[in-house]
Amino acid sequence: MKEIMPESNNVVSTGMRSPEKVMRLSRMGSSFQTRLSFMRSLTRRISREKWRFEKIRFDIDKDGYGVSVYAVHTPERTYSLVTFTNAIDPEMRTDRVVAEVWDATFNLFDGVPTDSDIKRLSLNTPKQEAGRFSPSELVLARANKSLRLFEHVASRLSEGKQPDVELLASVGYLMRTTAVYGSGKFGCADREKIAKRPETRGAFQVELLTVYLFRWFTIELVEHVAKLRGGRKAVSLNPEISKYLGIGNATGLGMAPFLIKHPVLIHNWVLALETALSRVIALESYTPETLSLFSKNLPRAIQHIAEWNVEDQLQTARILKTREDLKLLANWFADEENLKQPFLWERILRFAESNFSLEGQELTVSLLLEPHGELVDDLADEMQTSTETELEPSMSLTELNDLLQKSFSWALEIDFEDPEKQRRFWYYSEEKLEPRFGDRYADPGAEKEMPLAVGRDVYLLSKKIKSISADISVGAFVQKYPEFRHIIRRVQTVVRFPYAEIRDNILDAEMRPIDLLRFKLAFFGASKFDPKSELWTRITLFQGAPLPVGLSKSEAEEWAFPFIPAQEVR
Amino acid sequence: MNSPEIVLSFNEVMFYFSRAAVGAGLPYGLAEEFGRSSIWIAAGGLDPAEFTSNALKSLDEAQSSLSASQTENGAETVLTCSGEKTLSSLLAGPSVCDWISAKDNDSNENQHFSAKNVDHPFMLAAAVGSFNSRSWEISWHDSRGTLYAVLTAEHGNWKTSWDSADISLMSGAADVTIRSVERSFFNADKWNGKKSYSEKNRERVLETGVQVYEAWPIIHSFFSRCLVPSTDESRKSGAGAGLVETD
Repeated sequence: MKEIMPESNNVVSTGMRSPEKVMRLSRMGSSFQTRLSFMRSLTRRISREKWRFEKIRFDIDKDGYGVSVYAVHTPERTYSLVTFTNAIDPEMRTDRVVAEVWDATFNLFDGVPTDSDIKRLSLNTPKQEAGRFSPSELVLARANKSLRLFEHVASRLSEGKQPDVELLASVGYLMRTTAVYGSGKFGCADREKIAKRPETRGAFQVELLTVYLFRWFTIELVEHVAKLRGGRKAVSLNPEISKYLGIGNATGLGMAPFLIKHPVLIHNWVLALETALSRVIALESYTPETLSLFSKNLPRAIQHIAEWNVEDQLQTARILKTREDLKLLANWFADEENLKQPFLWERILRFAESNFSLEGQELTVSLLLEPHGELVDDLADEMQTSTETELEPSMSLTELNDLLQKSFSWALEIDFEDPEKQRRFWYYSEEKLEPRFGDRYADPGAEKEMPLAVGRDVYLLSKKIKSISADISVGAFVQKYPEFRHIIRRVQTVVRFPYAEIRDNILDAEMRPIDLLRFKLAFFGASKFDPKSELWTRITLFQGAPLPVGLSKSEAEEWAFPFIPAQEVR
Repeated sequence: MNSPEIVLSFNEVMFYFSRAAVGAGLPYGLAEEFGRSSIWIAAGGLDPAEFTSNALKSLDEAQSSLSASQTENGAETVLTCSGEKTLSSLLAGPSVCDWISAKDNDSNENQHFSAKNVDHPFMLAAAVGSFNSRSWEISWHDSRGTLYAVLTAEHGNWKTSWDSADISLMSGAADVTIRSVERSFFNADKWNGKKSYSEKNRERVLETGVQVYEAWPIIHSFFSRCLVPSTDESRKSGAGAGLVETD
């Protein structure tokens, strides 16, 4: 039954940025990781609860192929990463869902797998979507090597040398994941199975734990190959270089529908972030510690952005502007007069809003949160939900129409009679259910589009309501017009969750799915967004994050804005 | 018993079954309700495809209709199909839930809902059960006059008046009555010893998965209607990364 939920007026409090400002594609597509991002909260928990890591099995040959099991012991449970590595034809290596083979395939197992479990997985995991899994498996994923970097690192280590850090920085990872499936995909455990466990309650924690363990595995794998190749001459990776290696990820359209299908969850993510920002800017004075941390992070961010280079021209222009924004911020911050006045953090935000690009503004938000862990980290526990959309059939059509006018004006202002305003459609392809993005007037299948067109459906609903003279109940309306049931249920629910909706038209001819991807990936904690087209991006996960061994509190807290290790470690 | 055709997660039941319903002709909002009902059946440890596929087939083959009219007659609310066909349980189920939701705060316990000539009566029980409201009794007579009833309660508890899960017992259209009952009714003599389902069934299925047998191809066939055939062009440019990536 319905929960009693707060009204929107109470949700967005004074000092918070409005949904109209925040939930626009242009700003969402300018997002950065923050200390509330899910990877950050995971490493904090690992450190706080002193999780213990153990290599249980490593049956890998000289070429790096075989089976391994890496376990993590949390206070109450053990989870194991079971990985299979195989030789594949380089020409078969693709990041797309339509791929058939991968360099590495792996599961996160709930507990410690028996030999029988590993045998079963060996028959299914390498097949990925074509395999079947059981509720013992929490995550299914795969990854491909960066052939260039993996071979370079293996070769250099085998010769007793460290890798070329410039080359390493240009790639950032030894392997990149091309899909990380959780939440019941292909027979794996449902989210419900683990939703109440403290260590997996937060958003995407098992998926990111999988990636974290896999990063550890890739580093040990390349060292293993180097050692067997070079013998006594071989050396291990310098720890600082190891730390700089992340896991790559190629993210495509599959991630975008998630944001639209889970409006209340998205609201909670954004609400946590905006609440955190409002807490920080409400501080009248700073402490020496927070000022010191901000002073430390600003040059780190400057260097991090300076080392962020991509081929995409639009993103390159945005990065150049962000670099200029950061110079301005550094100059402003260097002026002692600016530090003497109250509400320093709010004045920094206002300065950014007045002078910076959207990317510069969002990076500033990340910088503002960074020194304030004690003030904001509790919000990371509020970034999930079990609330589903619910219909309120007793509501009258007049009341429903009022809701539309009040909360969906952004949709009602779009002229959906203009064909260009709904040129695009989202669908599942028959080919491995790959999510694709089509042109309604050129491609087949528009009649089978995914039900993601919130703006258009609100527009059509409003039009239908206007054509009905009687003020009937919603229940009577949906019985006669069941095609509106899903959108009414959504409208009636999300009016209480003001950050739930993307306030733009995702069917527009000019729509860039990559904006949605970046928004979600920033919440994951990704960095180094490297758009390859409007439909997909590469990113790096856990770059700069501490490795399992020797993970201290300070390392777990402070790994935002990674940059190339200093010369002396090379 | 034969091996299952497939073992699904609840998430997959929602994914495949709701889209199968769209493939059979249901609007998306009703298809989502069908998905929830299917999960409720699965959480009881039953095969959701076996219990739901005939309702999809009835709709697809135009034996059942989504067109209905609802009237209030004193304490009774009546839902009747607008034409000659049987009333699709895929519309009747959500309509009952809407009625329950609207009456939620009504203290008049005598009110009840009658759905006439419903194609698959058990699907109404599944809809009410998945709604997770207070206690309801859903009952109907088969063509031989045998009474069937399902008692639903909150937190995934429910009972059936019959012991076997054999779907053939519940075939055939019937008039279905839904009435509110006291929570204590769950433990009343009338329902003592009856086949019972609880949250523990759901927890067990979470650990084992949902076993789906012979009717799975029917669900999958309807589901497949929602997929768009791949073309050379859509393969090349409809999704993200390139077709060969080595870096």
